[in-house]
Amino acid sequence: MKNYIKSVVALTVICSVIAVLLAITNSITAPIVEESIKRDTQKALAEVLPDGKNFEAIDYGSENLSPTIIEAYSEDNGGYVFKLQTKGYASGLTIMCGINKDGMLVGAKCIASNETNGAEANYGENFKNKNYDNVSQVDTVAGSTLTTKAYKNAIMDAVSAFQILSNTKGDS
Amino acid sequence: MKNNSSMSVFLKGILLENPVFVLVLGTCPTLAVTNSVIGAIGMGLAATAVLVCSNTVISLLRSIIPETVRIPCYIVVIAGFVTIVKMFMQAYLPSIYNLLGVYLDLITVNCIILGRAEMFAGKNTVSKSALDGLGMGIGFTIALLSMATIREILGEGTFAGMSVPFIKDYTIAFFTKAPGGLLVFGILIAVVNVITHGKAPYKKDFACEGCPNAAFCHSSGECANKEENK
Repeated sequence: MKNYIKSVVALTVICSVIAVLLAITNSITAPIVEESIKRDTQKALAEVLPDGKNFEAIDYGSENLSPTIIEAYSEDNGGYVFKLQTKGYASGLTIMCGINKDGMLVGAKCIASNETNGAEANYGENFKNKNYDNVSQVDTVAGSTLTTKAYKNAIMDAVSAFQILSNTKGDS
Repeated sequence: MKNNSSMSVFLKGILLENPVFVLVLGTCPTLAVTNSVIGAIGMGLAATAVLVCSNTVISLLRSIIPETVRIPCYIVVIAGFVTIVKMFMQAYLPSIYNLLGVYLDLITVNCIILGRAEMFAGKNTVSKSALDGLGMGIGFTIALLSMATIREILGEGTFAGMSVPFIKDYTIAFFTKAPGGLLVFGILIAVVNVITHGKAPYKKDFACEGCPNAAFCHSSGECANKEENK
């Protein structure tokens, strides 16, 4: 009986001490991590929409946009940046794309992926200066059809979302 | 362990009892992260940090930890240190943090760390356990680094991201994939076997204390007896 109590007490004490240590570490690192995530996001935003000023995350809950869009940002000039999450050949594909106030795609960049071929790294270049009407003309890449097709569909979701968002803004 | 002087405790992890090539522990991260040199170094150093800390703490607590719940205690200690290392990495080395991904968390269940806790830290003094952790950690890092060097140069034509002249025009993608990893792994084990021939400890030297299943084994001690009766 004594042994059982000893086991329980020892394990409980060790777990509590470790939990306290983790809490202390987290309180040190959490603000730094948050800061660096914010910095990375701003950097990515500036990269896909270099002319943008004062990016602000927007709440598009009521607009019924495609589920591919996981985050949306507006900026002072009327452009939008969308963060898109889709599925390519192997696994998730996360893309950021910037659209200026005229509905023109300014930049698209894959920020996280686990695809086998690597075609997604530079595929975004093809969408430069395309808009709602001609984005569908961009060709997929042979040998990476699934990846680039998913990429293209995600970008098309983004331009459609731009149409919806900019129209609502015009009405109000 | 026949010779327990501090220096040999430290050195044995590097070659004679190299955790990857001789003890064949920690195979999962070995195969997973060695397609890039940077990832291999990051993984090796993270595991070393955890190994030194957990060995030290487990050795300190070895008289307090009850025999029956020692495995859960070890795992709590190890998981705690892994999470701490992970938090610091995310804060100060985000690029390596992103590169290692889920394998960083998996250090918790890395056999090397639990293996050293069970085989060494649970029975030896604090200073020796810390040295053992350091030696094993460095041995692990060297093993990962040598594998990653071969795989990245042959597979991608680069070393730590810098392109290698000539080879970069003739890369063999096979080496960056899992089968290539297994092939390199096997060849390196063979090379280490040749180098340490006659000096590396035989399996039975570890007996039950070297077996990861010793804690749950109902016929403890019988393996060694069988070996002797042969």
